[in-house]
Amino acid sequence: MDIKAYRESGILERFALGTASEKEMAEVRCLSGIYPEIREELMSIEESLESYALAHAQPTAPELKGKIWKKIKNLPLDKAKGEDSPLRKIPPKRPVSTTWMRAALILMLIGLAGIMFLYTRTSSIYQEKIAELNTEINNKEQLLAEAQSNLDLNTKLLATMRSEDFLQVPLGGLEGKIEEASADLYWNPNTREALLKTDNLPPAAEGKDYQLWAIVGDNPVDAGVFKPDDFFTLKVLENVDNPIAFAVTLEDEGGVAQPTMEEMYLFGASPESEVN
Amino acid sequence: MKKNVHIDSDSILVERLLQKDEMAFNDLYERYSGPLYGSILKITSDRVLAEDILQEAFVKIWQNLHTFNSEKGTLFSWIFRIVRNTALDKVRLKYNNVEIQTDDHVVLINSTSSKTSINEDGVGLDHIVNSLEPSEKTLIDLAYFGGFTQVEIADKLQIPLGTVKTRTRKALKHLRKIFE
Repeated sequence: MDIKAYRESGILERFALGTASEKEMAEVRCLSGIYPEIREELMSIEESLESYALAHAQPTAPELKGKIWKKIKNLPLDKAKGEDSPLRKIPPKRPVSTTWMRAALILMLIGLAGIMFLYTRTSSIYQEKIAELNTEINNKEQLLAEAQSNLDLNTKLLATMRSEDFLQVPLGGLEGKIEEASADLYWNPNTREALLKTDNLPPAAEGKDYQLWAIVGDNPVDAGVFKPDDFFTLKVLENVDNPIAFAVTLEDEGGVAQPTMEEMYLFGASPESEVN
Repeated sequence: MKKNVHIDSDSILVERLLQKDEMAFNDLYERYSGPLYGSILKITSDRVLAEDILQEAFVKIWQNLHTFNSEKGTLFSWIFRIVRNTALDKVRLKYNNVEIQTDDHVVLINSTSSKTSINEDGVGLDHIVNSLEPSEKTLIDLAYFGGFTQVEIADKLQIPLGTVKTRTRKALKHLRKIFE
């Protein structure tokens, strides 16, 4: 909260002058309890107004004090709402017969025994139920944690995609392969972070992996294998300097040292390289 | 420092008052009856009515003491509010409405109360009147004694609401300087 702006808004003055609205008054009471600065400011305004009122003092008639005290003294007790009035009536104690007390005690003991019996019988059922619920809670917590970490990752990735530090390299599907497939590669030349998001790329066949390549100069540099169902793949490409393009090939599981050109599925040139 | 002393003495006095102690009532009366009476006389010049108001207000104060919270403001400001509201209710009831004059530093319907009185700090009304701009005093008096809202004041004085707001703030700043 901007305390300074609040102090300068004039609401404290209205409060001290007694002309604030009900809503404003409630607000000031609440905030002056929370913020010492507001309270001090308010006190200071009230004190100056008090001094102002003191300066307007007029002598009262000498008999007035006695008159008022008499009135106060004769106030009916129930009207004086003192919390701990020593004169508040205490209900008189009634004698209770010991027979009744015994009967009540026996009834209480019987009741207590009944409760104990029911408790032991039902507690095992409840314990099972509690264990069940605990397992369920644990599972839910795990799911939640996973969802949270996914969300964190996606938030980070989205921020990455929007950030100006990243260049966007669109990759298109190659003729004769899966033409409707595409991907976007986001590349940060400074940190060498790469982020890949594929579209319409089917899962790789059994024993196969998609492999990403960065083309540096004339050489393809291995940028790792990925699964297209990974919505995003973020990695740091240590060996990649000024890539002119990126490509995706389908290779044997785990990836290979050199790309199989016939199995190239996606390709896109870096916009920066075009400018150069 | 002064503030803490103020809070402490307020809450100690209230504690004693809650014990229904006559000496505590004496202290309260000696401390505040003069300024309260003077304030009522800013609303009505009828001294008999003003005394009635003061009596009624003291009864209300007595009955509501347990609701006072020293954390939320000074004892005087709490008492003053009760006294002023009692006065305004009574005066409005009697006169149907409160007439105000703003041509002098004496405002509201009061025309007889004297300008020369001395307060405990030795800062007399004359000194304040001389230090404050007449228009500043009018604004403070209308709001503080008269209970007029800023919208009502703007209407009465035929000046824009924004001006009332800024001038009131300025006037109170000025007042604080005078009593520093």
